[in-house]
Amino acid sequence: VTPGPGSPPDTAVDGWYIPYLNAERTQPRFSGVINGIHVGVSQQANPTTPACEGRTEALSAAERLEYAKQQGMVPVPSSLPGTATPLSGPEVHMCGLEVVEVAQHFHVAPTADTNDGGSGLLIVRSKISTTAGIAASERRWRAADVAGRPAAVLDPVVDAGDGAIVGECAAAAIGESGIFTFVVATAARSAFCMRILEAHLQ
Amino acid sequence: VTVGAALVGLVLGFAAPKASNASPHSYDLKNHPGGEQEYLSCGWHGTCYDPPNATEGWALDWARPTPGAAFGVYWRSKAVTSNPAQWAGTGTIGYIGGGSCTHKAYVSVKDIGGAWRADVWYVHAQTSLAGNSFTIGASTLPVSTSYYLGQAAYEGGGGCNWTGYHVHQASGGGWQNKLSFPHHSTCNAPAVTTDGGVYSAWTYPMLGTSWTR
Repeated sequence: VTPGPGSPPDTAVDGWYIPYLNAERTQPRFSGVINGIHVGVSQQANPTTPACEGRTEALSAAERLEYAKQQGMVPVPSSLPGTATPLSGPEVHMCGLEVVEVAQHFHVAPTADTNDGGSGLLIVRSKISTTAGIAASERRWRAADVAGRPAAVLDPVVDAGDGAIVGECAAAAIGESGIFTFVVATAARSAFCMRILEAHLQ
Repeated sequence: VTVGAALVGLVLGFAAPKASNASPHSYDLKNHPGGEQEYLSCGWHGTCYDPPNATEGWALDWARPTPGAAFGVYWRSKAVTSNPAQWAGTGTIGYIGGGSCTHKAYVSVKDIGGAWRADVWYVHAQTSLAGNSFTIGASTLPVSTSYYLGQAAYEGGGGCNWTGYHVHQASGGGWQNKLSFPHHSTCNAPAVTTDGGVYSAWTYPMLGTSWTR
């Protein structure tokens, strides 16, 4: 049984978070639109990738990265906490010579806004999707304003303070340039995801 | 190293495993290949566009020896602990299905106290099990844990520059060691589809981490 609002969890007990995970599991996965952002996973919200002529298999990783930088698609370094380290270079998807989507994974050592063990982090920037396609229950999703832009935000499953944060946060919005940015941290509070998103919208 | 290993029975809506005593205990967790038939089609790499001399990659590609059909994708691990409670933590399945070429299932690992320890991403895999969690078993001898995650997804066409069914199994952070497998050599060369061959998933771990709690 998940402890009620008046009875915070005893995070010193092994497995204290399991009732929260079980409660989340029993909820339907939400799919809908929040602030113009498709959220959740569904066929309707995740259309087939549009046909692309002029595929660019021959471009090297360095050439792809250069195009991504020129077109303002790479994750903004200043958005990241100092404890973040990339796990690979940005994954750059192109259509002809246009960069259509970039994704990059990071390891984040503990900060004040992450789980006390740290967190994984994914940043996606896209011109072909406006879908924050992460599977989660409806009660975790909410609308927000990030850097003056309408955004969709996903709260973690439980945030019991002092680094006892379980579940993903996410934040997504479309910038003035039309680039969609989607931030997912696998063990962090929403402020963490929103702060990274904000830096990409400015 | 598999002597004494036991396949953990896993449940949906899992119950809290046994409590441990108070003294700190050591944990060692190894993540194993998750393809149904463990054909290594690309050794250690980062993205699918890495240059041949790249050395920083934390991912392996798994496929069928004979390509052309989808296959099951599994969490596989072995774990050892000094804790008599006999569990290392939990894995929670997540899924991102948006964008292009980015059907991504993942497992986020928390220890018994709820501290995040590691993520594994299974890119080009789709699942309907997001939100489910499972217990990662451990004991003084290695305990094997297997949990079905979903199916390999076909993502050819559009802006995707890869074709065919394969799973890009990658560290999402938290892993300290890459194990067992060769660095990629040929997988980015046109028309060359192999770096290696078939491996026993339970014999060869690919990622390792350890902690004390």
